[in-house]
Amino acid sequence: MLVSGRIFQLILLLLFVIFVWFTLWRADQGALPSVRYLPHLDAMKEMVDRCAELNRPVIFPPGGSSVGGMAGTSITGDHLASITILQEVASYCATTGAKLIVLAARPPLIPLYTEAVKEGYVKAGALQDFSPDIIRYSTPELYSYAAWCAGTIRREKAGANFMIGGHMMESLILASAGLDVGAMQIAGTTGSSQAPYFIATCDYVFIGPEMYAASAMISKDPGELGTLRGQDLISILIIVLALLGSLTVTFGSQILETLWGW
Amino acid sequence: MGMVKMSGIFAKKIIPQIIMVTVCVLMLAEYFTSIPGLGTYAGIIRSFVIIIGSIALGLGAIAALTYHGGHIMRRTPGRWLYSLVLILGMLTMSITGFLGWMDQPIFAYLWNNVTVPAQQTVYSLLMFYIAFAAYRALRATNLESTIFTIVALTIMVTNAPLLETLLPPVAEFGGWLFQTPNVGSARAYTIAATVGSIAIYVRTLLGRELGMLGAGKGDS
Repeated sequence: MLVSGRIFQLILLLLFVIFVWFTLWRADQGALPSVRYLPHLDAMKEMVDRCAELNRPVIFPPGGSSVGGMAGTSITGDHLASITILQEVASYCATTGAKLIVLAARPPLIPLYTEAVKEGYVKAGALQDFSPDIIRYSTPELYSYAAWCAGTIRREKAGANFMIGGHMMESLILASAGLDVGAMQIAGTTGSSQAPYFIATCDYVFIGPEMYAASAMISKDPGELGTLRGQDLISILIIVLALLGSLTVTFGSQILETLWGW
Repeated sequence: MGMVKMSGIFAKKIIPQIIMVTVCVLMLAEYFTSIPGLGTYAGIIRSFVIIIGSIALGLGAIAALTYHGGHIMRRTPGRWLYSLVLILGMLTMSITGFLGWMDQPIFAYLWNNVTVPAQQTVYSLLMFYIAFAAYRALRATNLESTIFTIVALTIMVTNAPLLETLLPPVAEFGGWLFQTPNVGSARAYTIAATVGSIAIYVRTLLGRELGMLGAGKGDS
């Protein structure tokens, strides 16, 4: 019944599910983990305030791609985390009166961005200021998307550039455009190849899974906060497996390799 | 009023959640088990992903037409002409694409002589941006940036054929830096990010992730 060669993977997946389920259950009981303070969250407010003062727009390009995502159709963890952050940014913009522009790259995400921005405006009590035109779409083609975003950042003279989501080759083009117009920049993506570019060009960067932690801290959802502890448990399990693998291979045993092929 | 609200929640949250969890379980079952017939259903779902993606492209086209059409109608200064070019380009490529894709001479001509060179131009620009980012990054202002600069220069020596020949020990050290600490840290980064994604997918599987339904996080 079970496919040979995937049984160990299934066991690992079940362990991951148990870890996350357990931490979710614990979070529902009120046992929330303490999360390290991220200065980025305060910076986000400052950036929007600055835009309102300078009368320059806040640009939010959530990116045209993501690790593990099938081009154009799938929604990945990066995008879900960016949606929560977008909702918060929209709320700040609605409160301060700063103009917000979301540059969508994936058509299936347009309704989600629209809903997130709308919720942000509702949260700030400024639904009358919401317009679907806030969310702009041009193309799912990565190169064209990069050119379009860079053009928009320059034409609109962005005051703040939130590059949070699934970014690949367009990251540096967008960040350079933001630098050219003197925008404050914050970025976050889980693609390890793009993080160095962001670090070189942005004021603040969510490094890897910090984006998920930021999303949880912003949403204050017990489920999301609790899951952070589940992620730590999974990480510990992976570290233990890596150490065991190194030790067993060093001593000439192939036990983990055999288990993986089980 | 209460009934209307309940039906709204049912339509917007509960039904999509049931679909999401069912699809998750079905796809996992298809991957891990060899139950006869599951592959067929999983194949249908994969086809639906493509179909829904295509429908969403239509949604994107409508969003673009509405936004840029508005600029053309209002003759927004400095913008309406670009919007006009965009809409004309979109319509031309859509119509000629439907008429035969690359077999259609107009589509093939525009694709090969406009789209591809434009894409290559944008990609080529990256070289200048990378040089610019390197200039910004390689400034030894504190301990961390000094280490960063030394490592970067070492890697440059490793990859430049002339310097590699002139400074073999530095090149060897650079190779070790690239193969060992770099690969190790990159894998740690990737694993940590993947674990975050796994947590989101497990939350989806357990019906606790409503972000993709446009629901407020508190609603879960």
